[in-house]
Amino acid sequence: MSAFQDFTANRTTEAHQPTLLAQLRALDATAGVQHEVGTQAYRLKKATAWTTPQRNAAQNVLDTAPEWTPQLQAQGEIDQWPISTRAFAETLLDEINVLRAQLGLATRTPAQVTTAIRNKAGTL
Amino acid sequence: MSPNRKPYRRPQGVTLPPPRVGATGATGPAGPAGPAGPAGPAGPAPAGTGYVTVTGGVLNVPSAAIPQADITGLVAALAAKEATANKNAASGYAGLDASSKLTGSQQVYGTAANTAAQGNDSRLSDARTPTAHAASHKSGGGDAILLSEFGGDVPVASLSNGTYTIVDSTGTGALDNWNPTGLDGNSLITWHGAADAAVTGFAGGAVGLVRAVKHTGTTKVITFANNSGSSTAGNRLQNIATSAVMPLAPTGWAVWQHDGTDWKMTGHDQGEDITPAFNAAHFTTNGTMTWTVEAGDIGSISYCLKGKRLFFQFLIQTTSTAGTATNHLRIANGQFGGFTFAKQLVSGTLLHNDGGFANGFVQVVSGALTTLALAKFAGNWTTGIVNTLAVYWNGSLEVI
Repeated sequence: MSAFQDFTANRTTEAHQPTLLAQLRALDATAGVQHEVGTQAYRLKKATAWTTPQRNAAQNVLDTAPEWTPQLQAQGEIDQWPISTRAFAETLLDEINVLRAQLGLATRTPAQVTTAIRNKAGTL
Repeated sequence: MSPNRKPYRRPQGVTLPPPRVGATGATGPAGPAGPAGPAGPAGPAPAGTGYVTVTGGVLNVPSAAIPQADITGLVAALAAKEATANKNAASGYAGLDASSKLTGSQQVYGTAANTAAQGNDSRLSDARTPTAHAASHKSGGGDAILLSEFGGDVPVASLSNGTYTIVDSTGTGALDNWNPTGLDGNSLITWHGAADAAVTGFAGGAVGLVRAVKHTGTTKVITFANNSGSSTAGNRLQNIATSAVMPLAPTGWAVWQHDGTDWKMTGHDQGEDITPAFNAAHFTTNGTMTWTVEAGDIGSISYCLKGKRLFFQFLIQTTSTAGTATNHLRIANGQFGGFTFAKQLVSGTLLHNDGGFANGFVQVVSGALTTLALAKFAGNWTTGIVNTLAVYWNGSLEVI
């Protein structure tokens, strides 16, 4: 039986959900989040009973997780690119690498391109 | 003789001269009457009727009246005695002219107090509202009328069609042949039981009668079974939706009309949403993959039936999957009233979080019309998810 624990975040802004979840799962790999947007109420779930240190750590994550921004949202979407989008990007990368080879430059990997795009999204 | 007086004694040896005689005294008083003499002879017979006779010294009065004419001056004497001012007057006395009179004191004709109505008095032919006397016509009354005496083309059982009653009920549990106190004719039953109730039929059906039920409580549910054998045939309900009992939640209402066979539902609105009891077994998949949903994962889930249209919504979060990946998560109809869907369909946009928020759809699959299938736009659901899979949907479907 899983253990549910209710929390009230000490913040009025919406946390970035993927980051929030990642940070909570860093505390407990079975952590899950229920949250109604626009409220400060959170219900966290994990496989085992909550201890006081765990509750304190989770409360800290809820209070300090980065705020949702369009940049973080875009980065999350990049992380979830469907195959069609990845195919488009990697086809362009292949053509670019042909040109880079003619210029004596090292080729770029898809991971490098994805990271570059992700970083760019974070600065816009 | 005085006790002091000595008796007289004549002296012995003396000769007395002869006595002398005095004069004769006066005559004494008359002696007593002598004995009665013998009875005399009978007198002559009376000359006519009405006369008294004397027989043996007794006065005999004959039964026949003595003619007034034989009583000299009687009529005139009586006339002199008559108070004519009161004759035929109000509160006076009736005259002796032999005409028809009221019994007792004579009243004059008129319309005021202390007057009498004549035969042609308009009041005798006026339309008058009778004094209320319904009790005399009821069963057991002095002038009771049987319903069967009305006869005609109107069935006796339908005579109450014109009756409209509002009946309050708090009945709970099984309500077979439901007959709340006061039910009569066309009735609105306002229900607000302290526990759930399950109706299988109404008592007192007749052609044309209408039964309406309104949930006036704030909690609990009352359900109506379709064609249930728990009520007698003529009392059963033929509902709009037949694949499960039709519920009424607070503010809900439903109407039936009897067609001579049984009660036919003509309208239904469940009212407020009903939240089903949690049952983990109602959350499955179409394969060997398991979808684990716990009570605490249910943010909300509820349904509302309006006639044959079922509105259903759910918000389920922090669920898990395991086993071989498959493409359908399924929710059994136990979570939405037990109804069977009317047709296969693909409906609405499902929002899900299967490693990131994305859209999917809700599907009713042929051959599985008692479950709601949740699908991603493509591919299988991710297996091995621990407490992060979420699904959200709000839509409507037709049910049988």
